[in-house]
Amino acid sequence: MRKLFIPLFALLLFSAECESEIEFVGNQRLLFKGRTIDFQGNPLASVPVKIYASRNFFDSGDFNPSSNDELLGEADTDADGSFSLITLSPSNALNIYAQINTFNRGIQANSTPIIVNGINFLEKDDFTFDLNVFTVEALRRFELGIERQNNTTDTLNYSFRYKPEVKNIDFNPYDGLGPIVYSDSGFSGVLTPDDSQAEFLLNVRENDTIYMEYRLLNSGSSQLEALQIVVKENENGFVFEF
Amino acid sequence: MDSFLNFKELLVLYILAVALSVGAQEKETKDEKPAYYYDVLGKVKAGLVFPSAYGDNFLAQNYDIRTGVHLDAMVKIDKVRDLGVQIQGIQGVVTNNDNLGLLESSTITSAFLVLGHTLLGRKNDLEFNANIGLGYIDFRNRVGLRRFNDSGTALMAGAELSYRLSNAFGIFIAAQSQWGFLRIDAAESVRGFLRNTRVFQPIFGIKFYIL
Repeated sequence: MRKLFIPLFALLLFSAECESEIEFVGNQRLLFKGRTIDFQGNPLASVPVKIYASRNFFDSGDFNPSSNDELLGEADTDADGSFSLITLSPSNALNIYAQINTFNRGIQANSTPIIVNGINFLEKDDFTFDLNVFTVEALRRFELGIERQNNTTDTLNYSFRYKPEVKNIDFNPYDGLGPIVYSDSGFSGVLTPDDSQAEFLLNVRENDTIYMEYRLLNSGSSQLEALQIVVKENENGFVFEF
Repeated sequence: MDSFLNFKELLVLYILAVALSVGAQEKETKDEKPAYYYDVLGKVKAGLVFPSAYGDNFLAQNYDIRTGVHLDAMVKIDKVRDLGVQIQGIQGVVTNNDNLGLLESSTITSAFLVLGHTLLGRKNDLEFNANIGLGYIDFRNRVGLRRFNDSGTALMAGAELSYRLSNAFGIFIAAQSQWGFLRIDAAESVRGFLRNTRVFQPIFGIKFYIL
């Protein structure tokens, strides 16, 4: 009985593994095409594009594909910023997603990486998914500082909110969030009277606005204040003094 | 983009034309009983195919195709014509994945209904045949452990020279062109590239005469 159980168990594991793999349709190929431009509308050449098929429906594709996600194809944009990729046609993919401008390649280090989810929910015309135009925005290293100047008694509660460095576009109609999603990145903290300063280094988009909310706490008195910090072209940082 | 007929196709046509003219000359001088030709009911051939893909298509641009096997069996339907089937199996390994996606390799099988015509050698041991065929082509594609098929129709035309060593056994050499028309659905801009295959095939092998 034991001798029979082990191969049966192995077979069960193997079939479960096979089911989680992407399968392909015979006599069919897909074409994915699109274009990348910079913030000024200029074409961006040599931007890497990867198309993945995933068996995961709810997990959005990201820059760390799961072991069951299958790379369908990859290409770089041409001088016109265009890309065009012929791939096999997956039969059981729940999410087809694209990585545009991955972190680890050339010019892309200081530009926004883009994840495009739910491509399979787009209308396919002539076996072609036209992903249209993507704006790859410049990323800035931006230093945020908090410095205690005159106020030596209050505790500062603060939070920052800004657009994440990864641009996330989602065509999946079932998430209820619409075709384009910019989820916020952010963090918060506390500066006690014993702390004199705090510093943060962020990757933010050029011309983006960082939203700061803070509250000074001292013997029960507190009022929520808000501040908008614009990432201007020639400025490398901002210091909040209190 | 290749011209309508390239060098290999012209070569096959040239060989056919020469054989036809020689065959026509021979016709005028015959009417003697051939040595042993007419008693043949059919022929079976087995050989090796040395395929070479050409043209602006995925098979020529993205594959390294290897030596394959060739089998055919023909039955005589009259003094100069044969009818039969031909089957070939060729292994192709993807060397360039541009425009192909994940494909790693393919087993290419073709099967044809073949009409053969003996152009020369009806009364001696050297025989020259022209063959045309209509059939089916199948690509059994592999991606890791996964398999899927692309298939379509195919045409073939070729010429074969054989030498009969004994009543029942001979050798042959052949040159054959195959045109595959796969039924792959794809964007119009790449349809021609993915659907049409052209392969030139020298074939060497042995031939058995069924008496």
